[in-house]
Amino acid sequence: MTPLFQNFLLGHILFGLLATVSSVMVFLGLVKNAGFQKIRINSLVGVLGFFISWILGGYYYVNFYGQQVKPAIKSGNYPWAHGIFMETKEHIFLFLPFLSLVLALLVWFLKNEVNKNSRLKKAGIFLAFMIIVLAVSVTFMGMLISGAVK
Amino acid sequence: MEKKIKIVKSASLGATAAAIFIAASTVMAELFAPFKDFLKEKFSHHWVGKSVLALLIFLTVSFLGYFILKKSGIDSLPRILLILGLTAVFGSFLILGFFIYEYLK
Repeated sequence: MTPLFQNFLLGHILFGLLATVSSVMVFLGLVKNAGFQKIRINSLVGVLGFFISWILGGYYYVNFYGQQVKPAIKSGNYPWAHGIFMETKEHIFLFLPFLSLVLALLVWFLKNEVNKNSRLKKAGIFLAFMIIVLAVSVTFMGMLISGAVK
Repeated sequence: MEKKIKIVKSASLGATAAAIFIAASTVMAELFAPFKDFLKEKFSHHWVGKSVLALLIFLTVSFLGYFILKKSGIDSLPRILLILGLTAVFGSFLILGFFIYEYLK
């Protein structure tokens, strides 16, 4: 693997993790009624993180994984790592940038309404929680896939 | 305030439409080869095609939603956000279940 692909692979993991942690901070901030400044900044980091991870991971996936890694996994001891988990991961991930963008718009534009309206706050908390669940799932699938290559 | 509510609502609708497209196109591409071939041909890779089209659908639905949405009240927004979250979750289970089924058959 060339340094470029190594960096793109690492980058997509790091930005994805950053976005996930930021989403956790948004979730906790909403649950604990934390200051909206922190919630807003974390929501923005979440959006940027998922979008950057999308681009870096996508480049790596299209230009390296398909040609080099996928055949190795499919011919190895754990072909299901690609057949089930990579196929699922690469598509589930696509939900995350859009979900995180909506969450960011909610906390940036409607901060006062989220504070006053308990239904709206619960909906925001639910959305943040869904982002976390999907992001953590994608992360674990990525770990499975990495393990299958070795 | 009205504009801000409409922005969040229309973006939520756009994201829901994108999520539905992602789940549907994932299954469709595996079951209907011409669709997958179309994505490969137009976008060099089927996954890139799904990414680009999902983004276009999000932007289009959000843009149209902003101008079409008449009621700008906040009452319906919690429900719209809930639908978005549930769509993503059900879409994820659909995708996972589909690939498990495809692998095992």
